[in-house]
Amino acid sequence: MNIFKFRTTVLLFTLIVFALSVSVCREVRAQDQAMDPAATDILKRMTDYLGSLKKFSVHTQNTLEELLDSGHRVDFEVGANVIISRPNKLRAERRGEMVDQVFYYDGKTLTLYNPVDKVYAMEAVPNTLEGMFEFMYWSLGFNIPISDLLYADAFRLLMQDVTLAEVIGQTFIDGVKCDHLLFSRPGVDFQVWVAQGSRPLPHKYVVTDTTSPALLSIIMRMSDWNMEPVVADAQFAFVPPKGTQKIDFMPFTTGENK
Amino acid sequence: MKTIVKITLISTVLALMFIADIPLLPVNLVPEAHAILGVRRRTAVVAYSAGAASASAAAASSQQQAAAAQQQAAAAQASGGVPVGTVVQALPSGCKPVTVSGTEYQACGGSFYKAAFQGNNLVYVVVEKPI
Repeated sequence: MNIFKFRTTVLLFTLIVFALSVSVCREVRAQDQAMDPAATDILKRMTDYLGSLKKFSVHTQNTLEELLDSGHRVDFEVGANVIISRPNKLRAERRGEMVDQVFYYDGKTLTLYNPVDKVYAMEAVPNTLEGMFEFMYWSLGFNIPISDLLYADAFRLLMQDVTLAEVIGQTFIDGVKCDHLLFSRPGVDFQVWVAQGSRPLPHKYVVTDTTSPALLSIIMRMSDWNMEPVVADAQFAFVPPKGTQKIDFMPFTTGENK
Repeated sequence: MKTIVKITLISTVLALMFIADIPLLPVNLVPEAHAILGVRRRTAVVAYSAGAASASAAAASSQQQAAAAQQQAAAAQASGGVPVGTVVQALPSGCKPVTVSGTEYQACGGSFYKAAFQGNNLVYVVVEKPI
């Protein structure tokens, strides 16, 4: 009887130990395969292609996940029509619950215009898209979500500190077959859905803040890609309509640097 | 019997060692972050690479400042005037637009507000009475 109990005990523990070591092994193996070159290749193809476009327009539908004071999570929708003419012109019309705003950049001046409030602000900014994005982020305190993908060296910036790159699978977005990629870096996970074929355009981009357990994301869907938009300088320069008031940007300080 | 106890003990210790190596399931208790309510995390990959910590700290501190300012405003309103420099997201009720040398202000119960963009948000800042 004793010997039976002994055997059962040993068997049970052996089994537990075996099961545990298997799961540990699987984790170690997962780490070894963390950087899939197939995923980084597709991302590179996409950023190279976007960088090569002289002009384009796209509609983006952004979902901003937020936590309410009550602790409930809600999604805010913002649609944007973005038109870009390289090297240094951009216009974005953003309409949604939280913003109703037109953003102009004509290569010299950035204008933020709230048509409903009838106010606008202007600021002299650097003469490249990249310089303008930097200025906007560090000196004015805001950014355009799609800017991540538009930098000339977007690939390097996106891949910085990335510890995981994975092809999750293939799917259709708006009828376009896309590769679904996942990347992870400390504090941020991002997913990109890139069209297969000769036009590797992003059709969806999700950025998740992994520093908080709420795992809030910004979800951006991109549609109506147009590589031949009609661009005229007048589209990017703001002429204040009658009755609109010019206001200022409040100085933005990071608290540490200034 | 002694052997059984010994083996059981050793196996248990071994098993515990393995368990300790396995990361616990990511079950997080209700985090403190939830307490910082209304914090808008404008997550951006590139922006994060440029200095996530300082940027989000700045965002948090500016939120706190705004909250503090709003509290001040509420306190000051009770005693008659709102301190200059107070930033609010929405104007109090009963404001009248006043234009002084081409600039529009909102006169609200003895205080003057001027519109401004904080980031890309429209806010109102309390200013000295314009002359």
